Amino acid sequence: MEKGSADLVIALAGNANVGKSAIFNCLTGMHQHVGNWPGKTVERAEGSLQFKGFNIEVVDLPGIYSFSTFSLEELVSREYIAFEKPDVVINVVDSCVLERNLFFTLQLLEMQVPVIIALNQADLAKAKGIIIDEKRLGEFLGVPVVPTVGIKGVGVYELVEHAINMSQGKIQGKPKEIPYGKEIEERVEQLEALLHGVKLPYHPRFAALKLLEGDDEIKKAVQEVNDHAVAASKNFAWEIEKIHGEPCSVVLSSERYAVANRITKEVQCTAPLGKQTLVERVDELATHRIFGYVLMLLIMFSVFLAILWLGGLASKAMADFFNIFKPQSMGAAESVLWEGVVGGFVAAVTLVLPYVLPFYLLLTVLEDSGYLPRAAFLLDNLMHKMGLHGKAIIPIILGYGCNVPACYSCRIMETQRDRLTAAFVVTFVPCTARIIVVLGLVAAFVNLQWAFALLLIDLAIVFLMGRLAFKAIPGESMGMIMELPSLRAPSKRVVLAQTWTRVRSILTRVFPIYMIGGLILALMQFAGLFKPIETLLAPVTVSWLGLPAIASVLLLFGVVRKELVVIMPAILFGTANLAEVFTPAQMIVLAFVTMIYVPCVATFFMLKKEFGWKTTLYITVFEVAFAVALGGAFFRLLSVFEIV
Amino acid sequence: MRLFTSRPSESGSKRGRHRHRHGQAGIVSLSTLKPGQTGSICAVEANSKVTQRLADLGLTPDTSILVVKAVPFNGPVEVAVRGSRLAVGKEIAKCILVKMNEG
Repeated sequence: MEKGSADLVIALAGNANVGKSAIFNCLTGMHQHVGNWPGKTVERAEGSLQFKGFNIEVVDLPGIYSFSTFSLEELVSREYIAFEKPDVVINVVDSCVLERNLFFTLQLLEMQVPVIIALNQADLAKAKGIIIDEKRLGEFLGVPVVPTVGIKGVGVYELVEHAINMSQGKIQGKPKEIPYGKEIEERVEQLEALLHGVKLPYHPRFAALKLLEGDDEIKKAVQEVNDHAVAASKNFAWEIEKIHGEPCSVVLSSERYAVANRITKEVQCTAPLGKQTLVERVDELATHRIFGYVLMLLIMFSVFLAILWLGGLASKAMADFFNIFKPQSMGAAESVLWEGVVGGFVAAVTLVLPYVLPFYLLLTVLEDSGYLPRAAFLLDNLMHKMGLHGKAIIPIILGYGCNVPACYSCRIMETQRDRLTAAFVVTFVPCTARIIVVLGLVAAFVNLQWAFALLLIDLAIVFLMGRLAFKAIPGESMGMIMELPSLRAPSKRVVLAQTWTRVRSILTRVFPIYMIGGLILALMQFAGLFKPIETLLAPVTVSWLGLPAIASVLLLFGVVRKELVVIMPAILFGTANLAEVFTPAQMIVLAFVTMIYVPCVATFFMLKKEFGWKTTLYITVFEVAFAVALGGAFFRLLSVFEIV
Repeated sequence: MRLFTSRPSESGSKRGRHRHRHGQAGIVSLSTLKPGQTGSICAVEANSKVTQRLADLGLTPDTSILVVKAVPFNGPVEVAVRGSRLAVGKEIAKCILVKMNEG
């Protein structure tokens, strides 16, 4: 969206899993755009709406628990609020976990910006027997409080009305200051005095508190203009630490929580419900030490079956549909264009939409219901064996659909090392395209057992590569600390909107790559480059891997789209019976190499975006070498022992 | 505002209150608690990043904590703290020292 065109800018801030995206979807509908924060690998979602003649821009800040600089998300949110100064910040608060949410609210109030509280998931809280007096809460905090049910749109109208009134000065929010203990207040006051006259984007009290917490970013900003304040803050923090026997930042957190706790006790009453609700019983099962795993396997298995089945049906229907439009006779130049650009486009549509769309739909359902953190909880042990922790299962699951969003989702890991390890592992996870190759070559022409064996071998490789990366990639790692949000029935609106946003962002990223890649390949064919390539690569493909010469070209196509490896021979040889072209051993080796030999071009560019050229090239070179080495060994094993 | 002032001020009594460490009676690491057992947090012995993260999520000194579930074979624990549920990896649970409640 263009800056400055909006009459009003609203930022949504709050903890993760509080229904912030439901409110965002409700506000902006389909008018949203997901991008990146400039220079940061953090997702930025914004949208727009028209309300009573106002052009309103809405920015959905990442879900965070604090304004320390624990993560990039926290830093991005804090800097956005301080530097861009949105007209109103709507703090979305989960009524079910008021105390924990208020901890964040109190820090937001310390920034002294216009805040409105959306007391969200009011219906869920009620079902749990939690009743909150929103009026008293508003009095305690000094800002307006609006009860909302984001997934149903309840209270959202009032929220926007309040925001407009607040931006016009019709209602005033005077965020209350939380007084800390005397020993802290004295020092904050002195620091504020030291900061007097220093131009900072932050409120002086907020800056003083952050200096005491030892916040690096604010230290840096203050250091430039007043290094005396930084030195004093270090001293003060040390004194506070001596008084309490805890690091100063923990002392401040404790005090904020103490206030959050007192407010919660004052405004909330809980009526204990005698019996377990259905959701609680499902929750009990979902993390059960035995049934939890059974349930997880059932869910994963049915998701994959559903995608393969639905995807297969839809993919075939779409391919047939697009074939209708293919012109019968063409000149050479048109043919190149057609095969390249249109072919690439069709390939993307027929691959991405049928598989990626159902995958995202089901994934969003799992995500919105709060199930995924439970899978991460159950699999923490397994992930530890690869030097990662439970959360890494989420990119790996995503990887089975498409490696591109999977690499992107490695952002959920806390440290750079864990992100890279997870992304590296993900590139070995067989995405739907690779599963198609295994099924199309091996299951169809050798047998089903070998197809499963290949997928199992790949799983073992994923595991081994995790261990390897664990040893090889330097940097710090962190254990799992993760919220388990309440399970809930997913909201249709949120699921559909989120699926659409994700599919659209994949499409805009992947389509150009497919079309350009397709065009380059078509040009190469037109220029007669295939034969020289075959000759050039013959030592590897023919002598070492034992494949027919044409495999060089197939593997080249596979860089653009892995399943072209199985589609191209049918076109090049004019027969659908691949058994006439390959021996069973060759099919197994070709499928195996295709599975691991290189990240496809779309994944390559995603890796480049997340980790830079150098790392991406390392990964690519390693994978090519690894696949070729293993593939050749595999071929010799198969032919020596005459297994197939 | 009454709520904001009922806090013990700086005094000697607070000094060293959280200095409990291993070996003292009743102080154990969170990882040794069984599902259903509760305790109150004494200290977190970890690097500042982990300590800060735990504090942000409400695991501050004197907070009561309930172990809801534990995955066998050194798996993570599910805990209830301040009305929310968290999954905590074993290696982090080991760093959290708690005073176990009786019963």
